[in-house]
Amino acid sequence: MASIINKISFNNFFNYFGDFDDPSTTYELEKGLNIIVADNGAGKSKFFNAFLWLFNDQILDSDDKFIKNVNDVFVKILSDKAKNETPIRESVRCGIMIEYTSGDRVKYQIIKSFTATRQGDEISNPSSWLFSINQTEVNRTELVLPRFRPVYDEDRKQEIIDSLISSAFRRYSFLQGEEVDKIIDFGKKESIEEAVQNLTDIKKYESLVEIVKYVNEKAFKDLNTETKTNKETEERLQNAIEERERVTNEVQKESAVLAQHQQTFQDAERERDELDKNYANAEKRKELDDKLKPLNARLKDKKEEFENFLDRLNNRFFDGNSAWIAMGFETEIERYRKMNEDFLDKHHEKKALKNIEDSPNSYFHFLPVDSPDAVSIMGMIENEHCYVCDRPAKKGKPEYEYLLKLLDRPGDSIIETEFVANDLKNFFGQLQIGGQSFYKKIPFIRSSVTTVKQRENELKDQINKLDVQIKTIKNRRKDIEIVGSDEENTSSEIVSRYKGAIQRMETSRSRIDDILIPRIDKLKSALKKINDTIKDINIAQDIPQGYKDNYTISTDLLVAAENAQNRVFDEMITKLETHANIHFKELIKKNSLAGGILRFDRSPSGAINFNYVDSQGNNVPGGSEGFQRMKKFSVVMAIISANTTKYNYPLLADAPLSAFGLGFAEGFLVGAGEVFPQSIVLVKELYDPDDEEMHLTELGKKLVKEPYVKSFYLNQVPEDCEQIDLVTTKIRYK
Amino acid sequence: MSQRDTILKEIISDPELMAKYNIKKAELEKLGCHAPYHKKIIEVMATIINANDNNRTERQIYSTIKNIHKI
Repeated sequence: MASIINKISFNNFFNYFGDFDDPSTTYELEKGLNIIVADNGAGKSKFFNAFLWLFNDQILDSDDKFIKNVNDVFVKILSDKAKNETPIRESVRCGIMIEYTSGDRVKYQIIKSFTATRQGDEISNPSSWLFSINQTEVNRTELVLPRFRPVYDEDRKQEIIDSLISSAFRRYSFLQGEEVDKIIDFGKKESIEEAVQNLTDIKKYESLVEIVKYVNEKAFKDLNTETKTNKETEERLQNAIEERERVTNEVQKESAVLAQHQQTFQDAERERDELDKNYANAEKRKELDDKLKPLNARLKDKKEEFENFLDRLNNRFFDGNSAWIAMGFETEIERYRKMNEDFLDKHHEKKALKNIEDSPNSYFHFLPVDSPDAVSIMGMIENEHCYVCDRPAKKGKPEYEYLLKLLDRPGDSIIETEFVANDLKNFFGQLQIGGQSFYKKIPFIRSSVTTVKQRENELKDQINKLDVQIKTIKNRRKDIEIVGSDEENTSSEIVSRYKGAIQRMETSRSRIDDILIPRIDKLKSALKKINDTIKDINIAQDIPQGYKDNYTISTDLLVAAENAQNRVFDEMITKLETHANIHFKELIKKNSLAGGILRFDRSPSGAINFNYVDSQGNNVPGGSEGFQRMKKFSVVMAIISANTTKYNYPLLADAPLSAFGLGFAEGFLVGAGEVFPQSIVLVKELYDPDDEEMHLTELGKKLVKEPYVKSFYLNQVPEDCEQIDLVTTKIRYK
Repeated sequence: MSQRDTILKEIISDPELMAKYNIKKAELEKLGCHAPYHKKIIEVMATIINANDNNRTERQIYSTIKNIHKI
């Protein structure tokens, strides 16, 4: 009975702001392939986190890529908008609700939530909140009578949650980005063994081998007990038994040494693989860092240029070159001039009147100017006689004083007398002089402002473009960070450890293949001879046939059971290899890769090595990370499709295409649709912000039309908004 | 076919075992973990498989095997 997720709703869960019954936070999902497209930050990992919460009470913190318990990060989980809108001392709920059908009859609804009560102002500070996890709600309904009834039994609730995706298969069905790398770790012996155990009855064979071994040991002892009753053969038999014990111990001892070396080989192999991956990632990170460095420097320069540009904007108001402050003063010049003229007229008028009033004689002369001339006047002063009116002008007399005044004409020595409280003549004069460079520029100010505005936009565009470039590279860098690992080894450390691991592998391999396995084979062959001798002694004796049959049959069954166990394991490996190759061909169909084949080989440690070989059987090294991941994903798909019973669980994949490249994307989505009864795939690679029609790439638009795609959503978040306003909305295209 | 029968057939299908105990292919096809058993080796293996599924201990299983051999 396949589990099909019908619906998922969010309640103030990260950016999914709103209640469970709010259509904007509810996703209806179908049997078959469901695609949710979202750019970074638009809710992919948050969607996936709902299932991490459901199964493990954890979430993946996308900031540091560590998995954390829900109660440790509840403030982060609760929507910022919800936090901001909750008044102090009020409560808000945050949760997830998932509905799934199991088979044709029953539907389950599971709700996990917590309540947070606001205590303080700082919404992002955990101490501003009181937090309590609510009891998990599980409801059940028959599909014919769709009315949910609560399930109360806690064990039953857990069973219902677990049956959505069985925990044994969760690793193949529930994955995030680069976790595909970890699902099948071919350097780890247990990894493929676990897969085989889940797919076959191999555990049954193992337990049968153990029982037959026990029966055989007991049969051996019983047979010998019977044989020893005959004294003639007792000594021969005793010697053989002792020799058998000695060789058996020897085999056990050598097997323990072999196991140690196999472990050493396996550890070294894993270290090498791990370093390989780190090294490759380190190289890629370095490559991206090298790209980031000049971009960051350019961004810094541009921002400084922009700052300087803004600083200079002030100057443009007040310097005579731009004179922006005078904008709109075109008519004021004429008005000022007129007012200034009026002022001066009135000023002079007032001044003249005042002076005349104070000393009219200084301003009114009865003689014309320059008559008599200055030389004649000086003669008249010297002679104390006026020749104009021919009268004496004695010194000290008014006539004499008048002559002196005439000499000083036209009154240069007149002392200016104050005639207004504030003489603003000079002030207005200065204004006119100061404003001269400004009013000449007035006709050009508007075009100057337009030019500067254009420059501002250019700088902003350049900064935005650099920001986008840097963000894109940073996202790519983030995608190749290893989940849960912040180890930063230097290249030389990696190389040195890498070489050390290879050397240890070679030492162990030589010890295993050249010394231990031949030695153990030799001991086993000696043991077989001893067993034959014991059998011969026993057969010759007159003891009940049942004891003889018991030993012979159990010995033969032990060999047959061990062979069957190995056969079943090998057959499943071959089956996986066949299925993996079928899926791999499909996955790389749209890619330009030359076709090789995937092959499983047993390594000296007993692990299954997973190789990509050409038609001649030679290993094809390297390949992109996406290619490596495709190889692994084809094995995951093989594990699903090689299952003898129909696979019953949905695939939940967050960003599985992050390192695949678009060539693989379509193959992956088609393949997932064929293998899993339901797939819910969260991707960003189909998002195209520049596509005005649907914000989808060409492949995205094509997929919307494909009949195997059953639902298709696009998540969106508003651009350039505050964190407290960040809300994910969605468009359903299908 | 039950899972027990499949396991029995897989173990008994060992070529050396079939040759030694003269088990024909047609006989192998019909094998099951239930009586009647035509050969002791098949009865022993089927008994172990059934008993293991019924969570019997090794000691209990061995006693049953001894009964088959009448010892």
